[in-house]
Parts: sequence; structure tokens; C-alpha cells
Amino acid sequence: MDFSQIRPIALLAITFLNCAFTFFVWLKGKSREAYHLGWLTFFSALYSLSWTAVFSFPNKLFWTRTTWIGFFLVAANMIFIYCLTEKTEFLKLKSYGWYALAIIILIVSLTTPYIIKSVSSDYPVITPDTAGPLNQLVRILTVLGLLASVYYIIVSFRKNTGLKKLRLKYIFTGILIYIFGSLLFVGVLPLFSTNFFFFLDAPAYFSVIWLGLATYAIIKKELFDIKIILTELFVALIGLILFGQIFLMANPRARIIGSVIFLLFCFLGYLLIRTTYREIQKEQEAAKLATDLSDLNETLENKIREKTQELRLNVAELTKSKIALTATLAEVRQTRHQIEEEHNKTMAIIANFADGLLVFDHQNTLTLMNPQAEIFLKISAAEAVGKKPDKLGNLPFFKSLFELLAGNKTTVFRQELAILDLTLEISSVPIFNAEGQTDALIILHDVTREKRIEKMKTEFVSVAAHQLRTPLSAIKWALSLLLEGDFGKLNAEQKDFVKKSYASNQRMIILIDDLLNVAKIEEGKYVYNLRPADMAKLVQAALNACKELSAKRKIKITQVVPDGPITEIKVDAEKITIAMQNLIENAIKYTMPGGQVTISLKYDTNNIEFSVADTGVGISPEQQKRLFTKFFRAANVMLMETDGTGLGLFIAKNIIEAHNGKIWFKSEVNKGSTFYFSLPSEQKSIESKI
Amino acid sequence: MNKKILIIEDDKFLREVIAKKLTTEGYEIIEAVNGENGIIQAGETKPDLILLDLILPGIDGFGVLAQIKENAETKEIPIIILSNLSQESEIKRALTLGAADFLIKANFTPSEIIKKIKKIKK
Repeated sequence: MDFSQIRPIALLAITFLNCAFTFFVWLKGKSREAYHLGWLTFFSALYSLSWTAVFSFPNKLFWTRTTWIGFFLVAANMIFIYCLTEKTEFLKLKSYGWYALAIIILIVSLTTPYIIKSVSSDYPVITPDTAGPLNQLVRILTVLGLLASVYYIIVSFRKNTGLKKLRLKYIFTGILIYIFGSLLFVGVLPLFSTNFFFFLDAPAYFSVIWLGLATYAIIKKELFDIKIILTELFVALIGLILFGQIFLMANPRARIIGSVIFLLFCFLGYLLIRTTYREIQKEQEAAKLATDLSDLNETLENKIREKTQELRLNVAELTKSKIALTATLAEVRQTRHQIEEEHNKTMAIIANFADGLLVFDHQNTLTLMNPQAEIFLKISAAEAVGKKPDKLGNLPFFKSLFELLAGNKTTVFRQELAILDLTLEISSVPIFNAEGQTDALIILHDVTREKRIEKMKTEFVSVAAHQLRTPLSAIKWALSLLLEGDFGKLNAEQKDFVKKSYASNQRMIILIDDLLNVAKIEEGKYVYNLRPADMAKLVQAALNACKELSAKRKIKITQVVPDGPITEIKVDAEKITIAMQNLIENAIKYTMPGGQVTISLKYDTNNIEFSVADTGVGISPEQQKRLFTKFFRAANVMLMETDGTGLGLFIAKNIIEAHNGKIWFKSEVNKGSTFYFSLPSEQKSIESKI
Repeated sequence: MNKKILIIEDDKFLREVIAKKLTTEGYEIIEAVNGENGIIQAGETKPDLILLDLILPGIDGFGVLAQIKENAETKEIPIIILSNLSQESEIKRALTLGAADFLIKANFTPSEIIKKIKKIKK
């Protein structure tokens, strides 16, 4: 086999390979680098094609000159490297520059003998003799171009990490292989001997390696470590050489041995590749684990930091809470102190209160008894407090107290209770506690002295009245005897005179009577005799008593009868009659002769109502307010009727109110007055203080 | 026969006045100036009616009343209390003890008293 035959075939194969690279790169490659790499591989294909032409076609000089299309390689490489290393400022300008230079060199090569003067007919084709004057220059330019690209790669290699770095590694390795391989075969070896001009097309072969690596680096997303690829490459290369060697052997035996070596080598190569592969994988896994671990570590540290921060915040809050609590506690202590002071004050007041105090809770248990109450009820608080009425009722004076309270613990007001020689005025007050339940505060007020004084006063009035009556009776009797002629007949003048004296005396007697009544009323001993009575009958009695007076004063009395029968009610008949009588007498007295007095008695479910209406002088508004007071006589009637004690209405009012009734009036000056009273038909609790 | 009336009254003037009036009416009058005397007189003379004052020296009117009423011989005699006391309690007490009536001197003239006497004696 002849090398001159193999060479063009090999070069053609390389051309196809380059085309394949170009195809792949432009098909699969998405990036700008891929695009420009495609141009590089394209020009590389053209380059190897032109060398194929050199060895295939007759016009060696022309075709050799065309091989300087190779400078386009340099240009395309520069641009590719620019893109890869991101030095893309003025990319267009740089591109134009390099390509312009390439075009110039090609034109010069093709049209002038400056680069290639001539070619020799044998291989190596170009010798120092055949090279033109500019040959060396363009060669140096080529080398410079390649070195410049290497420089850019190194600079960028330092800056990048990870995948980018790996890509750069691949390309860098590829270029280095190409440069060193080319320099070795084109630059270094020819210096030693002309035989080595043999391999002037070596760059083409090395370019395959370079561009293969570059293609792989750009296309592939995930790159294996370059060691694997290189290992694979070298193995393939050696395999190829061994394979080629088989054909070089002339000796059949040597061929067989060569084949065996080749096969063994293949096996070995496979093992080597696999081992390398595995190791790389392990390394990668380890690296991944390391990365994972460091990630985990970082995550953990972050978490710890977070937690610590949280804890710190919590502690800060707790500290704040503690401070707040301490302040609150101090406040609470102070408040409690105040409360205790208040409590002590209150207890001191209660303990020293002049009145007796009892407190029953809502369950009727005695909860408080002050010292004064102890004195009044003649029992110590220790014995009584905490007990309920059923037990307390057995204690001496509580019984009468409870009878008085009789279930309305909260509504008693100034009721009198006698205990031995004491008279106590009992009042009760409800206390509402926080839960809305009612306790009862019972106040025991000592009125013994007041009562005694009142009693003394009443006794005095009584005694005085009775004492006064004696001489008045004497005068009355003496005068009546005189008038009745027991001491001889009197003449008209004498009679008249004695009559006047008698009348005067009589007035005195009536006054004394009224005073006595008032005293009795004030004593509370006035309303005495409660018996069921027919009101209609009492009205009649009162009317009868006033018959003479009405006749004398020429007043007409009419009566309005009730619709139906009136139930009997419990009253002190005598006193009610007096009250009615007073009202009727007033009506008669204070009406001009010829006037009218109307008496009516009404009955509904709750009350019996009695009224006396007159057509008399009426009462002026200013005088109305004092009408029911003791000894009051209105200004206008005093002129009419000098007779009158001013006690009539006072007594009537007291009688009615002692029966739990009401008394009122309506009046208009010079038109007349109407006096009303009503008595409850259900006499449940008429006051009868005896 | 004239009706005998015993007057037990310590006030001289009053006693004389009522006695005069009663005599004019034709009654026989027996007078006693105090309670004790009155009781004795009642027993001895056995009057048809007694006019009794309550305020008396020594034993008071109630005591006299009680005693006379206790005495079998005298208990049938109607007794009219003549007094200036007008307490309800006094009135009630007298009536409970057996008095026939209770008249307040200041409110009744002697003629009116005589009317009362006549009413009772009927």
C-alpha cells in the first residue's frame, strides 16, 4: 500500500468528519458559541478538502495555494473563542478584521507567488525553496492567532466555575493538542530532516481531535470529565495505529500477531475505559455527597441560627413579662394595703357605731353583729353570727325582731320594737353584692329616750287637759243650772248674757278636747277599735250630728247613694265618723247660707271613697299647702267664722292615714271645695300602735 | 218613794251643783267625799244609782267600782262614772269592771246627766 494513495483518502475522511461536526454543531447547538464553532469546523472541512485536492488533482501549485484557506480557520477560531470567553465587545469589528485578513492572505496566496512560489512534484510539496517571501510571515501570524486564543481561554478559565470551566477545559485541551501536535510535525521535526516534511498535513489530523473535543464541549449538556474522553481518545488512537499496522505488515504471520495484539489491546482498552469511567463516577458521587453534606450543614446552621434567634426573642419577651408582672404585683400589694386600711376603717366605724347593726346574707344567715347590737339584743356576736333564723329565733329577743321583719327584710322602715326597757327603731336596707344578690342590713336605733320624752309630753298634755277640764266642767254645770232657772228665772238680757258665757266656756272645752285628741294622735293611741262597719251607716251618723248646724246655717245637704251594697270594712267607727263629721262641718261652716253640700260614697274593688262637695268660699292656692297642719285656719274663713280650733282637718287626716287611707281635696276660691278620702277595702295591715 | 242616788265626788263645788240639780228633780242625795266613804255608804244606804268620780283621794274610782261590784249586796246597783278622764283605756276598764256608763263631766250638763240616769233606771 502506498501512502500517496492513503493520504488523499485519509484527508477526505477528515473532510467528512469536519462536515459531520459542522452539521451536528449547527443542528444541535443553540448558543452563539455553537454557531461560531460551526463556522470553524466548516472552514476546517474546506481546509482538509483543499489538501485532498492537492494530492488528488494535477494542478498542484494552484491547489496548494488554496490551502491557505486555512487562515480562515484562525479567524473563525478567534471569533469562537471571543464568544466562549465572553469578550464580545466590538465583536462585529473584530470579526470583520480577522476575516478581512484571511481574505487578503487567500487572495495573495492564490494570485501572487509571495506565499507559495512553486511546488515540488513529490511530497512534501512545500520546501524552503518553494516557499515565497511572505510564507514565514503568514505562518507566524497563524501561530500568533492560535496563541492569542489560548491566552483568552486561560484568562477565562480562571474566572469560571463548574460546567463552563469544564467546557473551557475541553476546548483548551483540544487547542493545545492541535498546537503542539502541529508545531511538532510542521515546525520542529522538519528542522531535523527533510524526511519529516512528510507530515506537513499533520495539523489536519490534529484538528480533528481539537474540533472533536470542541464540538463535544459545546453540544453536550453534561460533560464527562475530560480524563475519560482523553483516555478514550488515546485508546482509540493506539487502536487505530495497531489496526493500521496490521495492514503494514508484509508478513502474514506478523499480521496475525498484529491482529492478536490489536484484539488484546481492544480488550485492555475497554477495561481501562471502564475503570476510568467508574473512578470518575465515584469521584463525582463523592463530590456530590460532599456538596450535599455541605448544603445540609448549611441548612442545619441556618436552622440553628433561626432557633437561637427565636429563643433570644422569647427570652426578651419573658423578661418583659417578668418586669410587667413585678410592677403589677407591686400595684396589687399597694391596692391590697389600701383595701385593708379601708376595711379597718369600716370595721372601726361599725364597731363604734351608736346604732346596732345586723347583716343577714341572701341565705338569711347572720354574718355581722356589731357591739351595739350585742348590747341591744343582750347576746354576744359569737353566739349569734353564722346562724340562721330558725336557730336565732330561739334566742330571746331575736324572735320579736323576726316577727317584726316578718319576711320583708329589705323593706322595713323605722318600725318600733320594744325589748325589755328599750325601744328600738328598726330599719332595713338592702345591700347588693357583686353577684347581684341581696344582703340585708338591719339598723337598730335606740329611741328609748325619745319615746320617754314623747310619753312624758303626752302624759303632761293628758294630765293638763284633765286638770283643766275640772274647772271647765264646774263652770259649765254652774252656768247650765243658771240657764235652766235652778236659781230663779232669768230675764231675757240675763239669759242672753249667761248663754254667751256658756258658749265661751264650751269653746274652751272643745279646745281641750281637741288638744287631748292631738296628743293621742301623736302618741299613736288614737285609732283603737277596729271592727267591721257599714260605711253607709257611719255616713248617716255623721250627717245626723251635723243636722242642727246645717239647719242653723240654712245649708242644703244632698246625698249621692252608692250603686250597690258596700262591703263592710274594718275601721274604728267612732273615729271615722269624727273624720266625716269634721269634713261635713267644714263644708257647712264655710258655705254661705243658701248654699249646697253634696255627700257621696263610692265603692270599687280596691277602695271606698267618700267625698264632701260644697259651694263655699274655697281655699286659695297659697293656703292649700298648709291646710292639713295643726291649728291652721285659712285667712278667708277666719273672718267668717271665729269659731274653729284649726284641728279638724289635722285630726281627720290622722284618722284616715291611720287606716292606711288617703285624704285630698280640690278647691277654687269663691266656687267651692270638695274633700275626698279613700280607704282600702282590704284592710290587711292597719297600723294600730297601742 | 224617792230614788236614792249616791254621789262619790271629792270636788265640793261639783258635788253641790249636781246634788242641787238632782234634788230639784226630786231625787234623794247621799254624798261621799272619798272612795272609802263611798263604799261604806253604798253598803249602808243601798242607793238606786251611784255617780262615781274616778279621781279620788285614797282609793281611786276603779278600786271603789271594783269593790262595790264585788260586794254581793251592792253589786246590782248601777254605777255611772263621772270623770274628766277620757282615755280609751280608762273608759274600757271602767266598763269592764261593770260600770253602766261613762260620762265626761265637761261634755254633759247636769240635766243631760239626769237624762242618762233616767234612761238607766228604766
